Amino acid sequence: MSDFAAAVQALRPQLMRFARAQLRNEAWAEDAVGDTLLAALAKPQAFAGQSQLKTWLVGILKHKLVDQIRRHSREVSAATPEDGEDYDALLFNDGGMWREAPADWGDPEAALGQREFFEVLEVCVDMLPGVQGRIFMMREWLELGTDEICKELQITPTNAWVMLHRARLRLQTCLQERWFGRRAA
Amino acid sequence: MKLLQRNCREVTAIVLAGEDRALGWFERWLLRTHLKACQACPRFVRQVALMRRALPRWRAYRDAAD
Repeated sequence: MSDFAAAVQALRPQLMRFARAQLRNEAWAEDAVGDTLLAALAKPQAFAGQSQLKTWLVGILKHKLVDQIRRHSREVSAATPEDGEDYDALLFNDGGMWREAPADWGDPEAALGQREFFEVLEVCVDMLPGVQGRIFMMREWLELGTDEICKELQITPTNAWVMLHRARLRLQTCLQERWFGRRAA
Repeated sequence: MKLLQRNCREVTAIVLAGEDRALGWFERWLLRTHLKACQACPRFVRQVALMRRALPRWRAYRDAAD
């Protein structure tokens, strides 16, 4: 095996982790990563070496993930019971008032300057339920617009917005529990 | 007047919607009006702003970090 092929192979576990986080399905993740490695090994000259090898591979992987999402759109957008849960009832009383007022998260840079904060954020994203997690990752990691998300999944904008609303509220709650709440304690 | 008031749950929904679509002028007006009078919701707005700033860095962190 060439050095290039070996270097590409060595990154496979990391690519699998990303593919699993996006697709939340082992078989589809295997396919996406397999397609990525094949594409990379078939065209080593496309990797001009200006960027890190990992960054280049992740760029290819993102396209292959969209291919998988398109292929499995029905299952990708099939909501689990957890996806249907709304944190609204947890956070607000019947009158729509906060049960507990949101905390002051302080100076953003204090959190954003720490590597550990992003590790916690990663955990919180991984904990999102299936459809919420996939759609949130499509939006914030694959950087797709809601119109593209709706097109690939064949869902309505309202459906996408509801899932994103729930995902962001879960993320807020998770960050409060796992990061900001702990700092203040 | 009741028609023009929104509670914190409804305002939170508008704030979050603003992350994924453009808000209409009426929604922006409802937000402004509520945020001026509410102690709690401006904090939520700042939390959402922090998450918005965090996400591009999270992308960079996971895509490039070893």
